[in-house]
Amino acid sequence: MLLVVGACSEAPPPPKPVADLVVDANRNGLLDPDDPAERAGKASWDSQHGAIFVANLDDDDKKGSADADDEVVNGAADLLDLSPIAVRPWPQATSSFTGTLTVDPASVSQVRLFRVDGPAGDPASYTAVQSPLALTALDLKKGVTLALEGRDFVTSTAQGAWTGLVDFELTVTNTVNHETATDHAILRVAPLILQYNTAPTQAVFYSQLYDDTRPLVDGIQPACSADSMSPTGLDLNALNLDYDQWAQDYFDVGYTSKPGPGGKPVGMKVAIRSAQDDRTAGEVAQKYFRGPDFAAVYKHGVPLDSQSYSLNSFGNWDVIPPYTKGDVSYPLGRNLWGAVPGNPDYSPDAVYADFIRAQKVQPAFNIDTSWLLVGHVDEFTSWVKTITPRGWGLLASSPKLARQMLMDLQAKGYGSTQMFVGKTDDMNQPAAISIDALLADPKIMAASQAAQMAIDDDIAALTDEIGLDPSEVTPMPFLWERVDGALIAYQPGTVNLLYFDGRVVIPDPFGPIIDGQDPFKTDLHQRLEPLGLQVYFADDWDEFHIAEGEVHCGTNVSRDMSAAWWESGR
Amino acid sequence: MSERTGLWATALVVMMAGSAQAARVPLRVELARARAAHPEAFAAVDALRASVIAAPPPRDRRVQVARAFRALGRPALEPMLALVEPDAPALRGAPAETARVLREGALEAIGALADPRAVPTLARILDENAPPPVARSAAEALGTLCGDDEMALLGRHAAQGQRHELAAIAGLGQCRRLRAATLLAQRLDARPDDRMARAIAEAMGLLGSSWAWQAAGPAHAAEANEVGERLAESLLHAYLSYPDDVARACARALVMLERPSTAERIAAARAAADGNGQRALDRLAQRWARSRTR
Repeated sequence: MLLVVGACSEAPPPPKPVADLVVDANRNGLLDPDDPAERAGKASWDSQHGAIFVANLDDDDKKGSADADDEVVNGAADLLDLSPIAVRPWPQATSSFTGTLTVDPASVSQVRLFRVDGPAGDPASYTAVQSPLALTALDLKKGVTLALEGRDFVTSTAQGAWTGLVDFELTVTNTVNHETATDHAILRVAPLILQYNTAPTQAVFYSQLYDDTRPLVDGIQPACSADSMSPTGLDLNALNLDYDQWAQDYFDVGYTSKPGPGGKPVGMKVAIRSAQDDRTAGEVAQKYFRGPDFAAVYKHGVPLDSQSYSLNSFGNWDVIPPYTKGDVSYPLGRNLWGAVPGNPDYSPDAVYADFIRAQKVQPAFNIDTSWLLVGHVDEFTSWVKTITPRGWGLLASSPKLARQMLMDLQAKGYGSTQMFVGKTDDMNQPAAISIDALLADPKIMAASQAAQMAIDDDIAALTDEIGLDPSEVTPMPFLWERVDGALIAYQPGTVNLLYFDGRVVIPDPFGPIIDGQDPFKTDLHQRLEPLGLQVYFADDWDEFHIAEGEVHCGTNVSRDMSAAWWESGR
Repeated sequence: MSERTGLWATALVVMMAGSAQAARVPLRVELARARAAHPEAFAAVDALRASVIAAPPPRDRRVQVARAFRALGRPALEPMLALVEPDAPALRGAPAETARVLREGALEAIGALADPRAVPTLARILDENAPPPVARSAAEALGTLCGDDEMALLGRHAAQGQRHELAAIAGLGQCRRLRAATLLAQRLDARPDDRMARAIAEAMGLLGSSWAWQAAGPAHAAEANEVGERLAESLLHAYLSYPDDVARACARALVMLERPSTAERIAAARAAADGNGQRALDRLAQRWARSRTR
């Protein structure tokens, strides 16, 4: 009898512990605990599987700092910037079970984890918690909902630097028999993606300097109107920032995103301040742009690199449009900046450059801009969408073409015709010069030929790397001069243009007027319109050209970069 | 020399004799006279100096300072010369970097004026411990003038081991004369270090630029021909002797000469070269051909 009684009163064996994390590994914007793709891909990260979170650096509640700077969820809109994580309910959990959720040590300082107790749509339900997070038996039984925000992007490629991959480990332990179960899930912080010209354009910016920038705006306006936009002036004075007409240089715009509902990218734009500490206009990133769905970043060395200051201006940072060469694809294009690799005296801020490299999805390519006075890639190259088979092409400065055009005009008897009529040069003297006089100026000619040599080498490097056919490079005529031992556009640099949505706004060349027409303008129309481009001109002479810049240097844009970067395979 | 008059010429003679200190006495006299004659020009330069010190321009647009000086024109020559003088009183107390920017800017403007009256000051800057960019601006201004005296000055400073060797080489590159070409070619033929060789090649490209010689007109065709042949010979040898970045500078300069004999020169050199040399010369031939078609 005793044995029988004993057998009847024996408790059932405790269940084996179960640990089950759920993240959006199938990238549809939802947690799907029962989807095999969600489960299979959660502990790895590749082009097909793996969850994503964003650096929450916008300011959804407009408090003047990044949402990731505090330990609360900053309003309902901020919820969209968090990525969900769940401890799947385990109804069989008994009181002898506990759990621990940990974040890998390298990631702890890079992320913030919220525990959600209450309606998921109510920011008050979210409480910041620390790793390791202790979970009770009741937590395990009912499940726990969490949310993750990034506090920064990946910032470095250095060995040992944070990779952006966050490894969550859930351990469930039977406190009686010490039996455990563990589960892992990995999320990757979204990279900062820089804009390429061929993406649809949403806004055009310039420094609002009133009378000084009025001729530029007058030139931009018709192109913007044709695209149902109005250019936006950044009123630096109102923002208590220094006068700076170089809107291309002191800030840039990027994008970061994660899969949203239906797998479509959702995220935020990112204003980037140039790595130039004494350039206060760059503070527009924080003072003007940062707000709901608009983040701001400022990455630079300490102390700021000073050797090659100008290379940190964003006129020196462009993106080659998406392309495939052989079996290698760059679906988000490639970052392009001017530098002499290996030469610290001619390289941009090392911290910023490494920050950009660390984003991985737009692998960098460099060309030598050391021959330029200002040193920016936009002084001799521009990327435009075209109706050619590739869909885009490269515009490149051609002093050789400019010289040939002038010699042809001279041969036709127009040598005495003047260029730059009505304009003044940097000596405040009339800039007008005849074709004969210009072609007889050895200094301008030597400088222009030297520029052509350097351009040829750089364009050859680009076309070889990308696989561009020479026919995909369109020459843009203007001559160069040599100032302070380096080269700068002598005629308005017509390649230094604003491109958006099939439109180019080109610096007015103020060429010779022959039969009522400027042959340089005529040439540009004839050269560019067959590529599918609508051609506009802007007078940038006084405010930009004679100050070593042109239309592109004086403008900026925000483009739609909401591509599914995670499919890039990088 | 015909444009030089009075004390400026005296100063140059003293400078050529190597006595910088002695030259300052007449310079001060001349400046005092100029200040009395053109107080508005001195005031304009002083106002510009003060505004740059108060609010230096963005560092990637600092050549705006040069442009601003240039905008003051020829009347500002004397006050600009006073500003660029070593230990100029007007720059005492200014941050070193700002002072350098001001001197460079003023020198650039002085060079653009191509006025012989600047020669004594330019020569003195080369004789003293000026920062390299300041020295280069001074040397290029001398090279723009390109008289026998200026060339002699630059030749002296371009000698190996001189403090402002690089600056003087840049100055010679601005002087489109056979004598300057020969000086540069001799320096390159002596196989200087990579940095110096690259600078010489760049100077040779500017000096020998076919576009520039064509601009100078048919009267200079014979000299252009001699210059081109001398530089081409030197550059081709250097192209085969130096690593990639120097070789690229040599190739650019060689192409800029646009000598009709270039293809033949390359072919002849290839016939005598080893395997590596042949491959390098094939790249040069491609570079040459590309420049003809683009």
